[in-house]
Amino acid sequence: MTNDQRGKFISNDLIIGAFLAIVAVIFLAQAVNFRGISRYFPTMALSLFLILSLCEFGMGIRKTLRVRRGLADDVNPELKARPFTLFGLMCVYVFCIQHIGFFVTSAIYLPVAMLLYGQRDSKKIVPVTIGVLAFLYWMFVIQMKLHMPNAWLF
Amino acid sequence: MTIANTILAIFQIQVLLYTLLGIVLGMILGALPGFTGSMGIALLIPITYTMEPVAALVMLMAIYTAGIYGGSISAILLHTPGAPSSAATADDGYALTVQGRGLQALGVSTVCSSIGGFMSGIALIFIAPWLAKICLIFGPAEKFMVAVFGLTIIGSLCSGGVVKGLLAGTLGLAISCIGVDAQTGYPRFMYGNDYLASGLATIPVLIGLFSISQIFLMSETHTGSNKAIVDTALSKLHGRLLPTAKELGKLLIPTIRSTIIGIAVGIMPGAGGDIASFLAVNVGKQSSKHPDEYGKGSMEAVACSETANNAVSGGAMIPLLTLSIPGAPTAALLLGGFTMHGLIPGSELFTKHADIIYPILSGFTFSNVLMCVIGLLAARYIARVVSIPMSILAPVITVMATLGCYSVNLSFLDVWAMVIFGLLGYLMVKHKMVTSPIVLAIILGPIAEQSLLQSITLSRSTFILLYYLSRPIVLVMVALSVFSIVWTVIREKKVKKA
Repeated sequence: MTNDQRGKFISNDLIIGAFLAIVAVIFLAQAVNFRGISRYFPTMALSLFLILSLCEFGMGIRKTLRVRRGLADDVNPELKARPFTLFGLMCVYVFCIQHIGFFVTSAIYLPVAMLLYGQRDSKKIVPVTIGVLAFLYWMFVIQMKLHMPNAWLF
Repeated sequence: MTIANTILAIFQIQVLLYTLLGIVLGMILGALPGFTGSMGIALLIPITYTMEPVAALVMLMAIYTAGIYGGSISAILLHTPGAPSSAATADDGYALTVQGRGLQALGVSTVCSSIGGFMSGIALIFIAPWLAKICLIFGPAEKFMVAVFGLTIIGSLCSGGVVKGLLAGTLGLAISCIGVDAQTGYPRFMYGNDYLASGLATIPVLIGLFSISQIFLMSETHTGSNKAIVDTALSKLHGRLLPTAKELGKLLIPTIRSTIIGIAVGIMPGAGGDIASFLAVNVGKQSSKHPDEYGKGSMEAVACSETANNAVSGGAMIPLLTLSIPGAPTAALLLGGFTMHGLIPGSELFTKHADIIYPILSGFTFSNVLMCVIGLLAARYIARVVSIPMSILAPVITVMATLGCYSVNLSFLDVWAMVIFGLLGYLMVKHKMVTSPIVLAIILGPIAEQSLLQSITLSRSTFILLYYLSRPIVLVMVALSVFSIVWTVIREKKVKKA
């Protein structure tokens, strides 16, 4: 680690702890106003959650200071773009299932996701897409008689 | 429930077919690096919703045990443990493959995994009902403390540290409070959304935290195929797969010892197959006539590791079915499967639901025998599955998870919950937090809350803390909970110093 990196280092534990503590306070404020015995358990659970979040925050401060003072080396986990791209694609997929229909949306999603993962061989993409959708149709529609979502298309 | 009825129940065609499916699926998922039996269980729980409980739960338990065994296939052939519990097998197993004895190592792994799993099934059948009877003396205060103990121990045994483990547990407890309060009918954290009335559904949370998070995680690295590596490893395989009686005779003592270690570690809440296999290999090395072979291609080490990790499966079910405390993280998922079929752990499971639970436990025990047969016939072919690229598997699993999640309540809010918990699980794993305490807490939360409120009512005018402290079992549970946290903190400090 360079001195510049050390000087700018903020442990993720500090950020996570602070974020979770804020979340805990928001929900705890609601829980204490619940009626009668309904508030006991949520208050207890969220109080513990708040205490542990503060512990996490405290650990984060300690880690940050230790690294900045050169007493320890610590690296925050690197978050890559691909999982978030995939999350976005998954959100679009679920949204489209609701409005277009499961099978049509999945027939588009599967090849797109395979391409995103680096698969370029159409001899694999096409049969896998058809095979998976045929299996799911047999399993959920024919065997389990599942009521599929009402959408524009099949 | 007679023995004949139990046998008849597990030898029905439907049960046998689903057991077979569970074994093959478990072996495949276990063999695939990055995938685990837990993922398979999370994915298949929705599909089992419409199935008979015996067939459904035997299949899920077969995935569990076969998933552990499947991990040894890639550990031995590729030096890549398919599951964490096979990490102790990788060094010796792969060294044997390099020496040209990979097929023998696979054979020993198959037989020993089956013995470990089978013996743990027997232990489960005999110990669990006995422990359940003891639990009858538990009142609400004890039940509350059992839930607290379960969460404490699973949280404190998490690899990322005690605070992170407990934080995940309390987050799960907070999530379990969402919905209409069963005692008073008061809506909590619902914000006018009727979907949340009965709380957040467990299945989307399970699939999100265990399957979708894994898909996100794997998208970071895996893109290509392992085909070339697999072909090279398979080309080195020759000779016999089935060990001879003489070879097995030499491994008898290590196998028995590792079975006991595996069952004992399995019963310990929170400790999984990885701890058991490393412990068994360590003890095996200390008692071996050839300790120098360990780490360089010892068949004995493979036997120790594989027996112990599969013996954990039955052991882990003992506290799960009696006290709702999973002995291993995967067992926490199975708890979701049991509760979905209306089977609530405790003494009633072995009395009121004896006609269902005994066939399930016997079916699980038998599935280990079937796993041995299938493993000996198909292990080398299942190894080929490892060459399927992630670019195909990940999208397929996502589509299956989506439909499976929707199928439980025919609700898209479940699917959205799955996606959100998938991202949450991914972020948690990236920050060294484990996800299993959340699942356990969501399941145990309502039980803990009900027990707490009942104990408050029972304590009458006595101060609640004094009421709890006047009960010996509660005191033992408190001591155990405190001990588990203190012990973990000391262990963490020792590891840091080392």
